[in-house]
Amino acid sequence: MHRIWRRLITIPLTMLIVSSLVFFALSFSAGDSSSYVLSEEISESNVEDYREAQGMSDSLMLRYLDFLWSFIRGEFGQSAAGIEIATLLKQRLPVTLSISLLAFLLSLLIAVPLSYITLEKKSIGDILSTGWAALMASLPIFLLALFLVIVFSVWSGLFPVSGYSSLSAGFFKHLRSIFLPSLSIALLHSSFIMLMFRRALRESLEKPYSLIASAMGMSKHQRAIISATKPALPVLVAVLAQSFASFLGGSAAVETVFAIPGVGSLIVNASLSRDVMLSGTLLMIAALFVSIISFIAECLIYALDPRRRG
Amino acid sequence: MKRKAGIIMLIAIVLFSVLFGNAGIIETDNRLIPPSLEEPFGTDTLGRSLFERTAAGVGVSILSAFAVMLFSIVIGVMLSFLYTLPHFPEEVILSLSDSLKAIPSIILALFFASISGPGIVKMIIAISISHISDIARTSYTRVSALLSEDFIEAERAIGSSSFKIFRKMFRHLCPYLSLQAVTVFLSALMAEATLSYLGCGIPVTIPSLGSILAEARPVMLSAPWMIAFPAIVLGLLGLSLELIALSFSELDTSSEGSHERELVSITKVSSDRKA
Repeated sequence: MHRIWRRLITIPLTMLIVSSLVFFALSFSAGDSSSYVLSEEISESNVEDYREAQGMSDSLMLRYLDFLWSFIRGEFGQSAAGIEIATLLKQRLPVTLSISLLAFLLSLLIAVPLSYITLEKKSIGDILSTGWAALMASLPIFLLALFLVIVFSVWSGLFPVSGYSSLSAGFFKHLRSIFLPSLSIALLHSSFIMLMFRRALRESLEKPYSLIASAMGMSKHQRAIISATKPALPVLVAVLAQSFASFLGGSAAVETVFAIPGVGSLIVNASLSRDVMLSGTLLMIAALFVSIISFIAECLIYALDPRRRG
Repeated sequence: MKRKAGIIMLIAIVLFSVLFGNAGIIETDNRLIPPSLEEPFGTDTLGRSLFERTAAGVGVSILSAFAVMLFSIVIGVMLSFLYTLPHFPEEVILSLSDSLKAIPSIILALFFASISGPGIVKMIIAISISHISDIARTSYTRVSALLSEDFIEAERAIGSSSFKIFRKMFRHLCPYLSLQAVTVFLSALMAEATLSYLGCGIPVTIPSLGSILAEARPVMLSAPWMIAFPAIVLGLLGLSLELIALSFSELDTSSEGSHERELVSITKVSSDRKA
């Protein structure tokens, strides 16, 4: 219960830290728009009036609170190019979400069955899967994505090399355009998920209750699936939450490789064009997203494991 | 065995980078020449020797990942030592580290880069922040356990300075930190490669594996050696670190704090069970 409260408090705490960081950067780097808007001959008092009207001469604290308040209300302001950030988000968020969702599903589909199949220590499956996990950990995500492009797009022409087709263009076309990006993210993270989940499964197989299960006549496979799984689930949830949080960073790279107009590539473009407002806002949204997911994961773990309660 | 193999590979790669790395490379007219006897890796789009450039890039990547590791460990351990202050609530450390962990490192690095352009120091700080939280958590668990140990009381009884006590505690932290150090190093390496590839990490003027791979992207199909060799070197580097990390985690049979373990990348070495 303690942990859940702490996770809940983490959400506003994180937002405070990140928003202060962003606000600090914004107030230092962005110039005062009064020099752009007003012509040069205007007297000092007019400049002061303009500043008053825009709220720029308020104290730092007031401006910071104003900044926070507009963020909470969803008024994210404009990017350097003058486009409303909220509009950009509305266009790009569904793209990244569909890739993240597919990646999430794929990593579950790969990691969980693999954990069960390779439970036997020192078996061929164990060695191969651990080797694969080691390989996945040694490659940065964009490299994996590039290799997938070479093998699956260029050589076999199965999937488009780049670009994105939305759902309105047809379900299968959409799926084909997001499959490789999601697969690169999934392959990378599923190796780690598999390692962790498998370790938890093996551990719970060594516990006394598994001995009782085998004394009851359960076969090895039955024991693995029926009795060892539930205690290992908290680990799975925790690792999934952690992975999902780093999907965002991964999607920045993957969307750039595949030229997909999602939030990830938006952040990269913002960074390259020195758009502090845009990248700062996106950072705040990302941090909010990650802390909420951690909180949900913590609640799930609490529900799954009675030992944690009270 | 695994660890030795990993360490040998690592040393080999470091030697490779030190011996052959040449950052100030002369551009020639021999652009995009496939590998030959003279140029073992071929040349790149500006005619520079890919062999030397890759070697230099590996060195830069290793150095920056090492800096991240050092920075995270120092700050993380210092943060956990705050707990030794009288009446310091543990909730503060844990909440702080949880909130730092929620900030995705690559996006933070991209944000820093958007302020005044890519820079090595900015990148190192950004990548470190998410690792600081993991290290602070692990060492906090150890420190709080150590504080109740007899030998710490004994030290205080004979009036040892705080600094001496810290040093003793640090020695006890080392086995746990070493695995995390390797993990952080590996993760920082990958993050740096990704950021440099995107153009927001190490400035383009300095060679790094990520920027070499970014240059290779447009000519990926016509000049495959440009992507193959840096990728192989990067993969070998990562593999050597992963082997070392795996060898640590195999020794682990710890059963305490499984919740902490869920949140830490690869589990801590348990010196208790080894005896």
